[in-house]
Amino acid sequence: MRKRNIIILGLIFTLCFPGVIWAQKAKKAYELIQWNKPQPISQRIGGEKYVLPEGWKEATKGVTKIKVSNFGALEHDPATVQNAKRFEELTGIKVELLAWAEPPIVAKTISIFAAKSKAVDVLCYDHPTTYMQMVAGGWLHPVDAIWNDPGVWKLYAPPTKKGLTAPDGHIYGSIGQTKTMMLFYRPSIVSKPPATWVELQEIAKKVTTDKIWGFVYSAGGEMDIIYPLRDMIYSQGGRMVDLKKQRVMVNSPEGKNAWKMLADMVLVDKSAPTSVLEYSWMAASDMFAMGKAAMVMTHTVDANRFQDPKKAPAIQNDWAVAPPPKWDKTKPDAYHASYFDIDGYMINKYINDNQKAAAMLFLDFMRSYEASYRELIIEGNEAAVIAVYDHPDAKKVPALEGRKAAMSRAVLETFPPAGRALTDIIKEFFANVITKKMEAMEALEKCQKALDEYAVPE
Amino acid sequence: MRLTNSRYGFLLNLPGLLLVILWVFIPALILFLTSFLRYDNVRPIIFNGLANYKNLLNDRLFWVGMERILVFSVGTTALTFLGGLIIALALSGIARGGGILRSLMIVPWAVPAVVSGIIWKWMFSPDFGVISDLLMKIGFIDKPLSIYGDPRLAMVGVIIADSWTRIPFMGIILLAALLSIPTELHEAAKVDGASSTNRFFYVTLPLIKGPLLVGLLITAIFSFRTIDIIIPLTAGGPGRATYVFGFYIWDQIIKTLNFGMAAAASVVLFFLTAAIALIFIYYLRK
Repeated sequence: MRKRNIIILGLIFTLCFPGVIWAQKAKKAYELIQWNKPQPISQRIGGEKYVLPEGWKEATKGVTKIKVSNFGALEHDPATVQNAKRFEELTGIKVELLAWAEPPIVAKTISIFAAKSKAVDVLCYDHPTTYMQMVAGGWLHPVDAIWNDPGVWKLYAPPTKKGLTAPDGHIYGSIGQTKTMMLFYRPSIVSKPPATWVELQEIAKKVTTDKIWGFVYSAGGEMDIIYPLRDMIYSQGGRMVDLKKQRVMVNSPEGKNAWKMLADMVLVDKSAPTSVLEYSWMAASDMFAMGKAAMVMTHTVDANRFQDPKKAPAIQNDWAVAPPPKWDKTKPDAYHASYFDIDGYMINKYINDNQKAAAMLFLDFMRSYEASYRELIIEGNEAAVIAVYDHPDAKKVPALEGRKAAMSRAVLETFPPAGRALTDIIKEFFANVITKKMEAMEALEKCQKALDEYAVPE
Repeated sequence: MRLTNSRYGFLLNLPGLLLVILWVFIPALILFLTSFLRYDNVRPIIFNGLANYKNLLNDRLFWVGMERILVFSVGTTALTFLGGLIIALALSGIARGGGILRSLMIVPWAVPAVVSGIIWKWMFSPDFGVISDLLMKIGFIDKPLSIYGDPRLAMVGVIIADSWTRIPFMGIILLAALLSIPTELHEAAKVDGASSTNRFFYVTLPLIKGPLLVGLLITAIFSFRTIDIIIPLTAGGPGRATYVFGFYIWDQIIKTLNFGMAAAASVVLFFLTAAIALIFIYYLRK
């Protein structure tokens, strides 16, 4: 009896052992893709034509479609639509783009994740204030493998690597579009563009009349006050996010200068309207397009609409661009910097492994030279892959050189989780200054205190 | 099988009842239970007792949201009542073309709240808006009004925009009630020498009290959960001047991923709304 039991146990072990070993060694579907073959990633995605990695077919076996969320209506995103079609041609995997209106896009994304739903494979996100929140939620599939080539980072603007690397050392996102800002001005009013913020403040004061504001900026919608604040802080070499402590800092010496100048423009110089508290970045840009502002810092991509007689009739042949100002003449030229933003993609960790493989392949394609080319040439967005600006077709893009320069100097900061709530606090206290409820510096200190209290424990 | 009327009625209602249980009661129960959890997507989920409720009471923004929602709800309910009543009285007196006007009246109700918000944002814009322009042309103001940029005016602007979408609903309810009043009652009061004001207060108002209270109840309850129209108008600003309670819940879920706190805040909102509903129901039964 005893002997028989030993034999049975021995048989069980003998049969199970290889199974256990096999199970341990079995690769997940997405691990079958050899991202650095047939060429290293940087060459494979950095050439004019995108090259699929080896092993993608086995990895995506059975996948016929992936669902991808998109910022807003597809008619405004012809490059994304064409890129999705191209991906389908290359792989046979259909990309269903889900056109989600922008205001509730974060809410929808969180709903998908919180429900652990498999309904959407790839979700788009706005990097600075959303990325870390989604990472903190633990909802994302890591995509380190698609970045596993040191050369790949050289294709993009310098801050990309740091921005995409989460505190746990993994990478959970990839690039769709990129954005930065430049100074737009009206040459008929501002004969020589300001090179510094100090100059800009002076010029804005001089050129303001009862019909036109010297400078407009946004401080109304969600996150909007962050745009001018960041630009001014970066122009002094400062930063808003303390990466180690995961804190947002506004009361640094650079922050104080920026805060004061923005307040002074409205309250002291009267060169910017009190209605900045109503403006989103888009509304500030509209003010310039309608001929009601002499200068505005806005997205480089707005050059496309400013040159359109239908969209900006009041400023035709009377607008130009200049690099983002540095703070003052003492600062180095590298500080001619605005913020850098990634409208990126992330993968839902709740989808199955084959879907994940297809989703990773999609991310791989969308960050390629080929996809970036369409973004710049077809849609007029910025090109994530910097080399696209040197393509002969890029010459017809308005303000090309300025855009390229702005992109290469831009600063990417990733806000800690709850980034949007933190920017709301900044917006609230800045409004208290403009509405004269508080003195500028008192509001700034109170704002910092509120930010510190709100932050996730260190 | 013989079915009594009550059993037959119960069976007919059963599918609807099941849907209500599935879509309302079960989620409400989950919400209620979640409000006792530490559920913040950062730390493990644990039972947390009343900690979320305690945290709510200590949160400055909770009280800001409470104060703003009360002001907003009272304002929007009052303005909706006034607007609805005026329109209903006007339309009830129109014999020809009333149908067309009634159809036109419904248009604002059919417009999505976010679109209404954008329309009003543009109309009140100090830079391009028609309202500031008109007020300046008639000499009422000498410089454009930044309604949504001024904390003292922003709530007024939000209430106007929100009421605009609700007035048609109130108008229809009141119009139906007005048209159901027998004309003989007005004629008799007139013969007895009652003025039009007296006829309104002593004949019309008592007879439309029921539908009026229902309309007010629905408007008040809906106003408590409003943020869709406020997002494009002010996004809760300037300086939290229009940060109604819905924003607080929204922020807890979307901006901080604190589902436990969001659930607790929602439970508070539920009881607040229920209390208001009970007050209305009390007066309705009286």
